[in-house]
Amino acid sequence: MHAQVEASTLNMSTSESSKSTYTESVSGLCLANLWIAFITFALAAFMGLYQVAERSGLFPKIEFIELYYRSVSSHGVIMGFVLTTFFIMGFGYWISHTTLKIPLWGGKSLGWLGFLISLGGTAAAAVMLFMGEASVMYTFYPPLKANPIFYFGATFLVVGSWVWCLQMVMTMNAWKKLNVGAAVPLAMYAMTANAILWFITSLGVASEVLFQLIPWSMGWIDKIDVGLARTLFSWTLHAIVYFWLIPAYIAFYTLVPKAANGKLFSDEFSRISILMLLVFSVPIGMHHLYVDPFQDAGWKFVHMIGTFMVAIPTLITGFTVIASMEVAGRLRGGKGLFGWITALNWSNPMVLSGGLSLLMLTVGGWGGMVNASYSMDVAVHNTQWITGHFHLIFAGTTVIMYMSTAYYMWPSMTGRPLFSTKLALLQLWTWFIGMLVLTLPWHILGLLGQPRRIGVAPYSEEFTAAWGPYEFLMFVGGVILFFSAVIFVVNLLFSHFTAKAAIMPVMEYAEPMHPVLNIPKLLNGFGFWTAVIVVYMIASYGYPILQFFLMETNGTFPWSI
Amino acid sequence: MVELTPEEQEKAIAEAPKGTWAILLVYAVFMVLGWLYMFYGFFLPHGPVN
Repeated sequence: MHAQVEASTLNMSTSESSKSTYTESVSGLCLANLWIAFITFALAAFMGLYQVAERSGLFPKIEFIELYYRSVSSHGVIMGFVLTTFFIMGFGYWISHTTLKIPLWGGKSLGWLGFLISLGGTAAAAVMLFMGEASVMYTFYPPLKANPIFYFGATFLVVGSWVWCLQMVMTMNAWKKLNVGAAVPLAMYAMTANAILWFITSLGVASEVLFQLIPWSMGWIDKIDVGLARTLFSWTLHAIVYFWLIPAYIAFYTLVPKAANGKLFSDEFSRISILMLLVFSVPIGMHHLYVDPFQDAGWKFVHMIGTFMVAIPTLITGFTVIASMEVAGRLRGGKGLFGWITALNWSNPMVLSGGLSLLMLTVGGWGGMVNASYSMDVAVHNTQWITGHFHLIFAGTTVIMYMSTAYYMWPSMTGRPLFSTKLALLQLWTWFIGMLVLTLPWHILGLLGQPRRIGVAPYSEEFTAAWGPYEFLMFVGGVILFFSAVIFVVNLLFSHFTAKAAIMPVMEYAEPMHPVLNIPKLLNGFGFWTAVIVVYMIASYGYPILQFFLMETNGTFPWSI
Repeated sequence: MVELTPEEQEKAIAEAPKGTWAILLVYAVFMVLGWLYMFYGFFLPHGPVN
């Protein structure tokens, strides 16, 4: 039946569709990616619990500095690189399968090859992390040095994901050739933008690892240019946040309105927002280097302006998503300026997570405006404020949408209903509450001067006395989050054992309020925008990188080869 | 959930999203006030991390 539905959508005869490999579900490939994401997520959540317990000072017997840094590095790498990359690949393959309904370019086997490359890299890096051979944080800034196997592992994780990028772009192009002039389904369009974003932004860290960190860790060179390494990592460091965030935006645009029984407010607006994120998010990474001495203030100012430009697509997204929810609420009988809010079906996990996610984006976005302000950053730089900010944006805003997206996709992938919707609602609420209880005290601790990333604070009692109540709250938040993470994984796991649905559930996406009849080419492709990014990147990163080849670098080879 | 007539549904879709504008206005005011508070109320008297 599933194949017949897809064939009729494509106006293909059943015999034609039976010859086509697209009728082969990619659910196995998707589930493999998603389970790697969520198993490692559970592991990293446990590490997070250990870290808040250790930092709280409540349990002196578990305070081991070496173990703390091993844990922090593993937690960061898993959450930032492994959970995200595997989740996005799985989500991307499922979007491609359910929206385009054509064979995956290169076939499933190529997707499995990319998966195995990424998995092998992840395993190698994880062994080094757990052995304490790579306690270099998720940023792995030199002069912190890891075992070369860690760097090779990280490289393979990224290279495997490039296979996914290629498949997303080529499959979308193949669909456009079959459907000349038709608008690429929004979810696929945005996911392809994300694949292009990830490929471009990962080139920065790939260059650092291949040309600097691996030769240095292998002993082929004995000095490393730290300034160049940090500049290359900054190329990746901010746009990676949008690589994580765009899947959440896809859920905002295409899944939340559907779950709310409404429609998307504007398809075109959504595309403009995604394109603005794609163009503006890559060349702005130097706001992570505001207090670093090797880049001039002028370049940092340019990157600060670009950083604030990202607020525009964020506001467009906020408007489009809230307006979609308003329409859904009014269609359910909501009246008045805010009456539609209470009319929404908050007992739907996707709708609930959309609302909670936007609330966290609001608070996290405010904090981000403070960090991004060149002058004000020095008041919070490298303090626990920063940890609070990025946990709200990533672990809060983004990951809660990953969770609800998993709940939404699971039935269509497995053919079985979700084990428990009530458990899913409890899990989303506890994730939201836990995240606020964890991160708001972190913001205050940052303002009180607590450095981030430290296991112990060897400062005077007078200075640290005010931290106590907030550290206790941080621990409580961590416990709530760990509980939430466990029930998330348990709910998905048990969903594999529920009774098969009588009719195969179909993954549904929101329709726009006004159907897209004539789509401008600029809103339906990426050629022009990729060229704009290249020009923007050369303008904002060209000289800041080139300077390392021109100036004295204290005996290091500029590119370390 | 209230069942709407087709006319009421059309009206609900055609109506300008006034609630959304109101939320975004409140949000923008809080963002600006929050930023100003951090700049004048915290950063200027406090200075860099110490």
